[in-house]
Amino acid sequence: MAEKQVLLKVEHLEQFFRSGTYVNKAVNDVNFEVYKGEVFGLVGESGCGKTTTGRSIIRLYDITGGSVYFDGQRICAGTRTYKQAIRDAKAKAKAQIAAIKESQPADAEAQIAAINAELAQEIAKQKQLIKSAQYDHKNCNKVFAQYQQSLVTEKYQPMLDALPEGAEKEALTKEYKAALKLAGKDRIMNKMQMIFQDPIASLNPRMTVREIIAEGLIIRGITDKKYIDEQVYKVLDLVGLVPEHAGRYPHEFSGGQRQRIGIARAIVLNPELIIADEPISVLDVSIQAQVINLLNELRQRLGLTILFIAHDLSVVKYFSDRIAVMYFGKIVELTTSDELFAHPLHPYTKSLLSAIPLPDPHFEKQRKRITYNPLASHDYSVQKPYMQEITPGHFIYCNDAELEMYRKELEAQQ
Amino acid sequence: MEKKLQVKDLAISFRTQGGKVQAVRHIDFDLYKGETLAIVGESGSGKSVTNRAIIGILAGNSIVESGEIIYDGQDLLKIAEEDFHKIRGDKIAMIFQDPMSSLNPIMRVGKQLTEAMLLKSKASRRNARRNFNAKLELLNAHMDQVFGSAEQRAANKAKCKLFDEFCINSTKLESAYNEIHRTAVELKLDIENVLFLLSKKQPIDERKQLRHVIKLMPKTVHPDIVVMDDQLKADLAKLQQALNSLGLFGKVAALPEGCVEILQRFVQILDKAINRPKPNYFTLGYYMLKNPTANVDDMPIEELTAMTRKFLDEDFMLEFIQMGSKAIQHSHDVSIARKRALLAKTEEALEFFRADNLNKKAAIAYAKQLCAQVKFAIDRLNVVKSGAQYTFESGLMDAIKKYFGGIKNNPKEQARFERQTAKRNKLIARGKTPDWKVVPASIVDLDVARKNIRSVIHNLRHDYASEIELNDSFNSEAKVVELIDYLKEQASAVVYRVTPKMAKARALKLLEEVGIPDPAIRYRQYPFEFSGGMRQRIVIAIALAANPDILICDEPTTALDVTIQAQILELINRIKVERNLSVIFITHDLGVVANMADRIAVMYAGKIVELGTADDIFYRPAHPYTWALLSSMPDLDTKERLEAIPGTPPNMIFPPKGDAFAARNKYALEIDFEEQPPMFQISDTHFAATWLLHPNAPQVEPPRIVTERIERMSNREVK
Repeated sequence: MAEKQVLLKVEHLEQFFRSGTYVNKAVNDVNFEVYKGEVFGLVGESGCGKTTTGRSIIRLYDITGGSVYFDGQRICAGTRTYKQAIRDAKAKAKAQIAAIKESQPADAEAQIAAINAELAQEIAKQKQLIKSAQYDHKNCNKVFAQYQQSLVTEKYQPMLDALPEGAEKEALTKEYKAALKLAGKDRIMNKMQMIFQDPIASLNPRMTVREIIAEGLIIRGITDKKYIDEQVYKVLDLVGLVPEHAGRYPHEFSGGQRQRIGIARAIVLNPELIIADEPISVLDVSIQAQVINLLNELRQRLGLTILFIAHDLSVVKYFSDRIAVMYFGKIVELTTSDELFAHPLHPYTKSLLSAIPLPDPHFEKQRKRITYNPLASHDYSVQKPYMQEITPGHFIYCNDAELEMYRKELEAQQ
Repeated sequence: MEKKLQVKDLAISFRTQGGKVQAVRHIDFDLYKGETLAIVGESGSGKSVTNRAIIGILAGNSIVESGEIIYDGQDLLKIAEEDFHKIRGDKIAMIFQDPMSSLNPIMRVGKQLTEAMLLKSKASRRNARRNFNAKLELLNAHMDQVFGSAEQRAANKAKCKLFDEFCINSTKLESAYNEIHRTAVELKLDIENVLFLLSKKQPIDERKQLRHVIKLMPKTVHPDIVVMDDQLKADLAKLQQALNSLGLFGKVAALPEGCVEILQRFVQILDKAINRPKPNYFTLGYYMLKNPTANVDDMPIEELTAMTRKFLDEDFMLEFIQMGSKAIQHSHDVSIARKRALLAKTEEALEFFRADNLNKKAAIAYAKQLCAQVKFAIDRLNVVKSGAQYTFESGLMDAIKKYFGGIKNNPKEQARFERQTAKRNKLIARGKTPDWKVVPASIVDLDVARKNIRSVIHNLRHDYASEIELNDSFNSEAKVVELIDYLKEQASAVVYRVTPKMAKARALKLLEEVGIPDPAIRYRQYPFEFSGGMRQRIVIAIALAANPDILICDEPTTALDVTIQAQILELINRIKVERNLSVIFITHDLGVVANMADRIAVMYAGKIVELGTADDIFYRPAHPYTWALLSSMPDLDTKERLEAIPGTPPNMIFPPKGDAFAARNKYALEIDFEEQPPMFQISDTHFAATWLLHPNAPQVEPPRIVTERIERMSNREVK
């Protein structure tokens, strides 16, 4: 099997919200990779931070710590970890100095100086990291646009050089300049689009469908009305609506159709990654099926990668290739969807799977729901847990003792 | 099984600018005591409207076209708003779909929870006392009629008074016992929790926990639960000492030696106390009333119960039952005699309403007189209120009003319709295209209205006839037991009072029950401080706070995630069993229903298209719409493309002529576009409205995805 291309890489993502003195750690040290062309499911109960993760990735929030890479380029970066490192280093140095002063060795001065020098070095290093993070965070679009412009120049320059002076060259120069301008307005964030949960709240009631869908194109810098209309009709057709719908307002549509408009808006800029934040949970069952089928089709036709955030596990199972289970801001288990449902290992995953309602009364009446109590299930007094790979592609958040236990469990199952 | 709620021929439409939207079109169903009826359908199928009609909160532009909703001998569609206040929320509670709009944003959650409890407590105590007195007085009056002499009358009165006294006394004792028993159960759980956390070496606030135990332990002291002996006293003193040693502020030190052992001992004591059998307070109360000085604390419970029961029976109860049964027999006989006389009278009434030129005033006067007589003939000592006699007045008056309303309004409506049509035609003739439609005329069919009046009387006659027929099998002994049970129930409602403190404790308990962590903090917060799932839990807690008879859940878990959903469903199920609730559960998710429902009604376009037990619907679905619903949702084994239902539901201003689902139905027959299918009965419990069940229809298999799933399900059972 060929090596899968990583499209989105999330490293130590942290998103904290401060309310008064209380810090809400909505997303706390989350790591995952999304491969090109796959559907990556993110599940968990409400309040576990799955929506916040999605929103942080697309920069609706400024993240607190960690970094997100898209197609190899860092698109958002937080500074908390570096600042924390500085604070830790300072505290450590202070403690060391205090210890030295206490014991009064002969070369006290020299030792203190050495510690201070080390500290200064550490601080400088972290400050450098902070600076680069801030630069990347602020200028990712600019860097991307410059790169796009360089691509355009690369394409046009040989052609321009080859042409003799004259009308033909002038025309090409004009075209080159226009392309350069357009490329200058290109942003890396356009490659990522979001579908929101509530199709009623996420569509502006005062804009027609055409305006809603074209808004992205206009901001992107396209002024050709004809081209815009063409694009709008094309995506409307893709999502199963007709061009006549373009002139209507959102309230004239049913819930399923509104969600289709939301999807059309998301795909009009030819994104590579779609973040679908519970796109079906407010829809009726019959409409849900329509929307899932539509997303599936689009994915195959446009080669989209989808980060699918949902809490309906049977839908996630049906739709996703890999699934990450989140609990209180942390990913506790990450594996392929078949593996997750066949061999769930983390007790929270088990409890989640045991709660799925099935359309089968006999089964339902005998069902035993497993409750997850983090205090009872884990003993982290000896060693703190971290993400570990138990079998290839199956990650689990545990410490070494638990890993042994899970491994035995897995063997027993097989 | 007892029918808790009956919906008969209910039709509701909404007046809108475009015309009348027919939201519910002639549906019938019954709700039995202690069952869960699930109503499944897409949005706009009329499931919410039906239930809003039951709880009496239809929007202002709604029109009830026809039908009855009978609860406790009343037709909920026709009673006054003041009477509805006593039912809504108290007897029939509802959990709404959208928690944000059903909570008051400017009131703290705790206030919203306790408000109804406190208000209701006073009113329902008064109400219960009134019911209790009325029934007892009636019984007394009938006793007097049976036993005529003056001294006998005095004896009757004394007996009734004694019954009243000891009944209330007993329930008071029982209520006190229950309160303390509950405290003991809770305390035991709390202590066990603390011990568990300590054994896991988890950080807890020891001071708080100790204070809690020291405060609550003495409150569990009751002769039948925990006895305050020297050992217990010493233990409590030791704990207090330990608490003092921990200090008031600063870092919490480890728990002193010996505390854990004391706590473990407490658990043992409480465990033993909780599992002791409960004394029969009904008999004990009488015994204590007669022998106030007797000491019964040391007696074993079984012996005590047997002794007090014997005492009660010999001293009072047997005689009382005998007298009561005679009084009930008398009351029943009187009522039957009156009904016999009324049978002839109703014959006359039928004739009266058949006459061609009915005068409005005369008709209403006649109807009022008739209603008064029917009311007079009701056997008031019968506790179960059922049958047409209770709803006769509201039904008859409503039918008459409708008929005369039709006479008055029909010409106006017709004229308007003609005027508008003419105007539109004129515009069209001039070559314009008007962007408005003519609102169809809503004309009351006078013949049908007249027939409805007569059918109300017919129903009454039918009921009377069957009652008179069953006269021989009337068992006054059984009825007297029923009556005494009713009185006991009312007495407990009289005694049961809610103080603000208790209300708060109960609210905290409820919050905890519905899974809200830190209830004491949450109690003081505003709704906007909660997440969606948490808000919904609060709505559920409020609905349960009033201890309702019927709980209507309008998509309570749609906005919640799986674990919470499962918890909430379990919660509703548990409460249903504990309180013998009847639940109407509205949802569009069939997966949720499988766990909950005893019976399922599938609704589409204002009609019930399939009705059956959960097994019927899931293992033997018969209607194409049910198939479509089942096939459009993935389960864990689904791999193939989902079969979505094409199109959208029909516009209910102009409902389709035949089967409403025909246009979206792959299996539609020609007749589906012509005529509405009737309900076909498949088995005793299973009905479906589809022409596919007609003997002449072609044999059609359900879609593959459904049959495969059913097969998988049956395989799973074998495993």
